[in-house]
Amino acid sequence: MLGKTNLWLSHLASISRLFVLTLYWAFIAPWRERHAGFDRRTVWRLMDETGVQSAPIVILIGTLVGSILVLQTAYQLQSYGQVRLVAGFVAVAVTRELGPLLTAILLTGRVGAAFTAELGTMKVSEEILALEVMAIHPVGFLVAPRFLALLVMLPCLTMIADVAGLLGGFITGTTLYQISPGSYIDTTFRWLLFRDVLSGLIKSVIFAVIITMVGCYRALIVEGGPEGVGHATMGAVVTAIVLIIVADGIFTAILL
Amino acid sequence: MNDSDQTATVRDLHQAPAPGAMIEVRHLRKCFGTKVVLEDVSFAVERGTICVVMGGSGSGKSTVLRHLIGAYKPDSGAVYLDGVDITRLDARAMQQVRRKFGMLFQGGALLNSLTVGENVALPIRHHTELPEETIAIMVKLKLELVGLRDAEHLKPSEISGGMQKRVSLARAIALDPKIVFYDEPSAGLDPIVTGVIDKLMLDLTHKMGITSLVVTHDMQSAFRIADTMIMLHRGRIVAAGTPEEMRHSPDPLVQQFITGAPDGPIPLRMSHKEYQADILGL
Repeated sequence: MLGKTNLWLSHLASISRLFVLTLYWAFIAPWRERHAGFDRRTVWRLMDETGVQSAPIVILIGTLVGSILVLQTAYQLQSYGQVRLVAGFVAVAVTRELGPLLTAILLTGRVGAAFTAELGTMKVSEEILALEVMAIHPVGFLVAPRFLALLVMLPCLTMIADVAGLLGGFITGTTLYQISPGSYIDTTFRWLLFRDVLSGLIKSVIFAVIITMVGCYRALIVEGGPEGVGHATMGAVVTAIVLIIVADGIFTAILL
Repeated sequence: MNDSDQTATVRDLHQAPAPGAMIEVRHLRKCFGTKVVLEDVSFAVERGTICVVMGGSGSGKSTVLRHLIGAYKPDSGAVYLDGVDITRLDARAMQQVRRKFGMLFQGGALLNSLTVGENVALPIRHHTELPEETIAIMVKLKLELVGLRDAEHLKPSEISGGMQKRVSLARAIALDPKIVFYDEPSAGLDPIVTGVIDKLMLDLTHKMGITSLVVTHDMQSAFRIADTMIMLHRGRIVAAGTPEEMRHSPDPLVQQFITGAPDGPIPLRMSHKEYQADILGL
């Protein structure tokens, strides 16, 4: 039991150190070091891979969740004869909670897993050691650009998911429950506050940190060939999702 | 190697490194948990020579190499590269030392997301402020040296294993290092490509004055390139000398390794349990 606690603490210490190093290489090194450690083009490429290419699936999931939410909420509001309030409930639920959370979970599977698999394979094929031998810092070269890319793209995708969710709700609400479009939009904007959207975006920044740090950390400590990479990828996805939901709980309590 | 040889080539831990030695390892000791992997390993490699480190699987030769590139810290002992003890350096100082050496990895270890040319350009871009045109010329020069100028725009996955190793060698020497380490340069290559790599190693060492340390168990290649040889067994140096001395060594361990006899001082079977008892489940 004690051994297990110690192992957890040592992982926690290592991942914190990785986070500090990543912050240094992402924000300080580009101004201080002679060479930034990574190429600006790499960040653009990663922003395209993690962000732009994730947009369609985020839009799809966002729209579906928005409509499902309308169905579920309307089902309960019907008994009170207050179906037209559905727009407000859905708007708040999507922007505060489901938009950021589902986007983060989606990106954990799509991007976090890819980070672990790619960097983990580089670890087992000695590519990361080769970088170190060339005096190129692996955190600066590999982790920092991924961190920056997701830090920008996850809030963007969350906003896209928010809009898609509202739109999905709007379509379902106006077609299935005969709420007039004008009244739906009116209720939405009467209920929705700017701080709802903002709290969702703040959470998405935290989630971006969790996804990159867990994904890259699990990759950098991979041992034992392809099996190790598979195991690490699975572990990274599970750990990241659990941490995202825990962090979501904490920050929801703080940001209410 | 007898004791007097050892004291002649290896000096006390706190003395300055030998003047002609580019690589010097003194009394290296490393344990993983309770398992002793290296025990009192000491040797020196003269400037501009090739030293071959031989030994079977698990003999500790890769561990020695990882100490030389600073990937492992020893439990005790010192590693001097070009007169600097790298076991006492912090990360930043180690970065400086690493610019002086290159390494050819067993699997090539090229970055798969970059093209061949970009792989070779990587250390140059990172450590110099040369303009892109100059870097492009340097990349072509290095690739020409290994005969692969045409492959510049291909991805590592599009070329063969032997070509990947040659590219990896071009990358290792991109910044004109003083030392090049080779980890199993002939592993997985056909005899002709092995010959090509051997010739490249000899050229680099004798024409450009690079000091090389080669970890291998390919005996044919080892005797072709070595100026000095070291044999490791169970984490200790059991023999050292010139290829000629090694060939005529009376040590049965060395002879078994050179001739590749399946059974000898290094036993064929690793089992501790009695065969009959194991089979019959006694």
